[in-house]
Amino acid sequence: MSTVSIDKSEILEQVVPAGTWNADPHHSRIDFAVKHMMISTIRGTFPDVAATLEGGPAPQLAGSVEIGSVTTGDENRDAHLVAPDFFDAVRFPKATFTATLVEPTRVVGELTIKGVTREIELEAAFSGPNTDPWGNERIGLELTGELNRHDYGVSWNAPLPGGGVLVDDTIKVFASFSFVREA
Amino acid sequence: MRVLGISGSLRHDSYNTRLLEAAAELAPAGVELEVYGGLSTIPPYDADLDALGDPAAVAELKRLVGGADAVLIATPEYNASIPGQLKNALDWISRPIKENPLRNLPTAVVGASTGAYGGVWAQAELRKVLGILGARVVEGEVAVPHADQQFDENGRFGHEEIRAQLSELLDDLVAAAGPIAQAA
Repeated sequence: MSTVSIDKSEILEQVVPAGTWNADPHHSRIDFAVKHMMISTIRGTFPDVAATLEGGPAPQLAGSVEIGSVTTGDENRDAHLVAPDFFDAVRFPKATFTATLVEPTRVVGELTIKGVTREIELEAAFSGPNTDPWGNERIGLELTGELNRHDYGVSWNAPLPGGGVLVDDTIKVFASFSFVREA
Repeated sequence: MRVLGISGSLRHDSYNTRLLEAAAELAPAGVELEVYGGLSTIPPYDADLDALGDPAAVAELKRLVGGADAVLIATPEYNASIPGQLKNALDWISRPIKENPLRNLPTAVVGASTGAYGGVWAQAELRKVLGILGARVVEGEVAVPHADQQFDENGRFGHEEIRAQLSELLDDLVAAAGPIAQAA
């Protein structure tokens, strides 16, 4: 009898070749979505993102976002989001993530928001490597997941007249990175 | 450390102003609590006026708030909410929202009323408004009921229990202002 075992480290070496890969800030962002008034969806973005991927058989991934860069397309809402009611950006200017496990379709790591660190598991999709028109080698990474904002103390809310609350507990997260191989 | 006290009542013998004066007496060493007296001079908020720049009274209030390490607001309760003139002043202060001087500023809310509950609804409304403005709203409330019966034999406002609560809230407010004041 023969068995076929899949060595993930071999696959990972193909999707994330050895070397240091830095997120291109112009082609990387972290988006989020949350139910509003129980019926509709508000989407927002943290455009100021930094992330580094160390390739090889056991890739390492770490990154951060500038909380103050959040935008949801409404100046008043954005001002409220960075205020102490929500993220308290003056005290906690960055959210950070450090992966503890990187697999071809799954990334697990420690996410810190507002000074609170919790483990989160994200679905992962790597793509590339591919070469851009200027000769840089690039890898794409899409991460998706969900978190409960109350786990991180981002807990402002308002009751609705008919029951329920204005802002849902569950936040969907969509991160998109274009990593460039360090020269 | 400088704390700016704002009374939501314009009445000369306002219980809420008396409450702030009691707070000034109780302020910890090294903390100066100045009570703002210009609320009645703030014009009605008007976006046309706003576009021309802050009226002098508004500029002065913003300067006082901006120069304070913390703010303590005492509000009466009118029709289950905060007085219009106090809300009006906060609306002026809030403009523009991202640069308003209350942003991240430690702020506490107290209140006195002649009713049995001490204006807890108005205080809750005020906390909500301050949170939206981006203030660092300190938890804890001092709700003074039956304010007309709060004078002792020397005419001093606030019975012992109220003064103890006020002292505790001031300590929390000063503690919230500490690290920020040092970082600034």
